[in-house]
Amino acid sequence: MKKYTYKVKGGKLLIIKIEIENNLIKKFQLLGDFFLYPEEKISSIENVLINTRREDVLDTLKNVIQKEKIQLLGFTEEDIVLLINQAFEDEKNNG
Amino acid sequence: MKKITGRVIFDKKPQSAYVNMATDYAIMSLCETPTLRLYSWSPSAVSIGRFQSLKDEVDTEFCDENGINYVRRITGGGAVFHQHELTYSFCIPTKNEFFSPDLHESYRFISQAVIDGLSKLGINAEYKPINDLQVGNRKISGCAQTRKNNVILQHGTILMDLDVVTMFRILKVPKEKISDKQIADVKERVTSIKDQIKKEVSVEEAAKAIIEGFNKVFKIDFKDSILTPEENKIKEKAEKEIFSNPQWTYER
Repeated sequence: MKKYTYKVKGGKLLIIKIEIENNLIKKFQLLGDFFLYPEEKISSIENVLINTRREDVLDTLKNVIQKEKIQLLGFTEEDIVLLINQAFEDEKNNG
Repeated sequence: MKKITGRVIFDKKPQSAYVNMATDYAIMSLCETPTLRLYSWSPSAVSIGRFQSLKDEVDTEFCDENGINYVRRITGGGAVFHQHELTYSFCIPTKNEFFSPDLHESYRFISQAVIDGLSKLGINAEYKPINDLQVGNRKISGCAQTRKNNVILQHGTILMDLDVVTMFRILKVPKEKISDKQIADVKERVTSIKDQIKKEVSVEEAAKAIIEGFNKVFKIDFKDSILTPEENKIKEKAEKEIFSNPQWTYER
């Protein structure tokens, strides 16, 4: 998996590990020194993005966060999108 | 405001990372009254945040060779090298009348207790959101919070002294984090009780000050306490099945 890192201004360090195939996210892991409540819901966020297209990532994230009452501290869903977009750009340019 | 009763557990004997994390877990699991625990670590250990990759953050080979434990916390936040420090954990039911369950507010409120404690030692620390206490622009304490079944657990470190060389050897510090704060030298960013007041303070002395800080901010009448048999049972189980279990440690 490819790794992308982003230090959120006034927030926490966000790391994603991602694999993209045919414009779909195939593997995804969210790592870092942030806070997320309840903690076990991290897997909901990671799983929901599998087989998601770039243009659906933000809505997909917003939905799962709202539906499962997830609270993020030290980052936002937009910060995750920023890193995922980088990964898709790299894939477009190199893949 | 009427004083409520709480428990304070001061573990004078330093314990392993696995016992320490299992003890906080056990107290949180059964928490009905506010419980403050103060403890330290032997052997030295690294704890990593719930969402961090162990291999990316910690040089585990170096730790194994040097008898340093590593453990994954149930709380988020970053990797911490626990050596010369006093650690606190504070569990409180969210239904508590004067306690805001709001995330930011509760971090601030509990941090204020630690700030008051440090001021009793003559140290003026400030809360630096989200989870740091600083003296000037140098970090002296970090904390992390979790919630489950209407109980908040916040645990945090208070640096007594600092061994930057070993800390850097163990932690794979991400460059982004350092450059963001625009200070390359960690000694410029981190301080300790010893560094601030230029003398050795015993763990007992520091613990006493922190207890006073919680007493003042929370208006809690703390009674000396030890783990109940029920808490001990959960602690022993969690030590084995969670905190020293590689499945948990290497989970990500």
